[in-house]
Amino acid sequence: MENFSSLSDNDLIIEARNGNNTAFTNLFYRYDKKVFSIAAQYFQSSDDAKDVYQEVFIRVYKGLKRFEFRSEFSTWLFRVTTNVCLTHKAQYKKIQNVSISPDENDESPKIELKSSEEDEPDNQLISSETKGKVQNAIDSLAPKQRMVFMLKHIHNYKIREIAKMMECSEGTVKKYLFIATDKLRLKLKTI
Amino acid sequence: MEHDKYKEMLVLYSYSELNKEERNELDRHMLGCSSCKDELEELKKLHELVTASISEELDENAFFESRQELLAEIRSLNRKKFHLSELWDFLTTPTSGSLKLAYSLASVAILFTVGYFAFFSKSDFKIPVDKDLAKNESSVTNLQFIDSDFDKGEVEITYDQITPVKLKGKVNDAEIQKVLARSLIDNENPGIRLKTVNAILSENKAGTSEVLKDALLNAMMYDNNPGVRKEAMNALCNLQFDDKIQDAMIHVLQNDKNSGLRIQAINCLGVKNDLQKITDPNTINVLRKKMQEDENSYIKLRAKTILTKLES
Repeated sequence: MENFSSLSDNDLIIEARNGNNTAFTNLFYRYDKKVFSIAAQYFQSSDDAKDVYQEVFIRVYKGLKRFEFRSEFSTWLFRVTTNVCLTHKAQYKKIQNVSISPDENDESPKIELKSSEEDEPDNQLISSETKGKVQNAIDSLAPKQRMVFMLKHIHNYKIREIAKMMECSEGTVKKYLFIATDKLRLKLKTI
Repeated sequence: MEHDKYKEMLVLYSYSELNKEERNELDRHMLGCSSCKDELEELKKLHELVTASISEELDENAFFESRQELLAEIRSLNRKKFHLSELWDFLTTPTSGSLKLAYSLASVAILFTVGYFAFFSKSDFKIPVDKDLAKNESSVTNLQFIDSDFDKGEVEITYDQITPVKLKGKVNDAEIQKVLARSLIDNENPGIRLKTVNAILSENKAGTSEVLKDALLNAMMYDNNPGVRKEAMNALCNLQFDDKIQDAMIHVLQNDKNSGLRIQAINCLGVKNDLQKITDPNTINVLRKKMQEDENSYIKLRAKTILTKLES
């Protein structure tokens, strides 16, 4: 009797290659939430995350036969994920832009986002505005800088893991992280 | 220059990416450098601000929709692949010595036929009709019309001819389980899928395999027939409860449009909570949301009851 939860990723890949769909399903159930989460955080849009999710797993499914077990399956999967994120053209945006200009006379409309603190309207407005500014600052980063920053800051990956995912050196990852942090500090110092 | 080095190290320090030596070195430097100390504080504030501003909450509905769409896409890819690989296997892998001769003869016959039509028959090409089709046990599926001229009464079609395989044994048998799991996921006839669930239900509960459990989870969440979803849930509710089943019940509770199924899911969660208290914060959050927002008053009430029991 097969118990997929006790099988390693590589065993599941071998099973899946032999046409066992349940093995593939089990394999992607192990990581698909993380893939969706990376895409959703990167784009701040569930719709874009859905597109990325679909593309990632179809690529992986089709490429499974060519997987050579030289790296961990998860490394390969997240490499595909970051690649697809970086090349995907965002079509949707959940969070709308809010001006990050510190100019008090700025008359651009402030957008109120839903919050659980509905009984505290003042807090809600401030909090939403701040969120918008932070999001805008992150959006202004170059794609690779943004990806490194999100993987490090939100998903807590180690620099060496990010380097593997993005197929670059640890030094390059550090460089992206320094630039991203500097830019964010500069843009958000008035908050 | 030296100071710039420390400034870059501060970023890594704030993410705990320095080794012990580097950390000690920076700590020593900061004892005499208020600028770096202030900068580290600034970095910490930036981290807090970003963390507080970015929503880490996953859009569960969108996530489960993605899963559903992916499974459908894989099923569709598999069907295409299945037809091609069956044909390939049929032509290339004779399973016994006695069949090898038959395959060899068949291959020669195919080559001869193809050669004949390629060289001698250019205009009146006709697909030979299998007169025994009705007599043998093969079934015809996936019939498609490639080119048809109904005025002339001519058609060009393709189809898959599948020979039935008979398996007899216990539901616990690995081979039967694989076929049942596949049927539950792939079979297009909801009646067959329903029968499959019933067959699984007849199995000894303690011995339900992961293959079947996954197939049931898949059916409960994604089958387009509510009857199949209901029976799959019924089966799962009788199994030993684990995180996977709990997540799937929550998925149904959140996403299924059928209120009867949502009621069944919350009842199942309630029964399980009576046996062992639910501790998963996500499940508790969903129950809270259901208590306030579900359009069905029974579900609201049931969610409230479970939460009250949890708090007591």
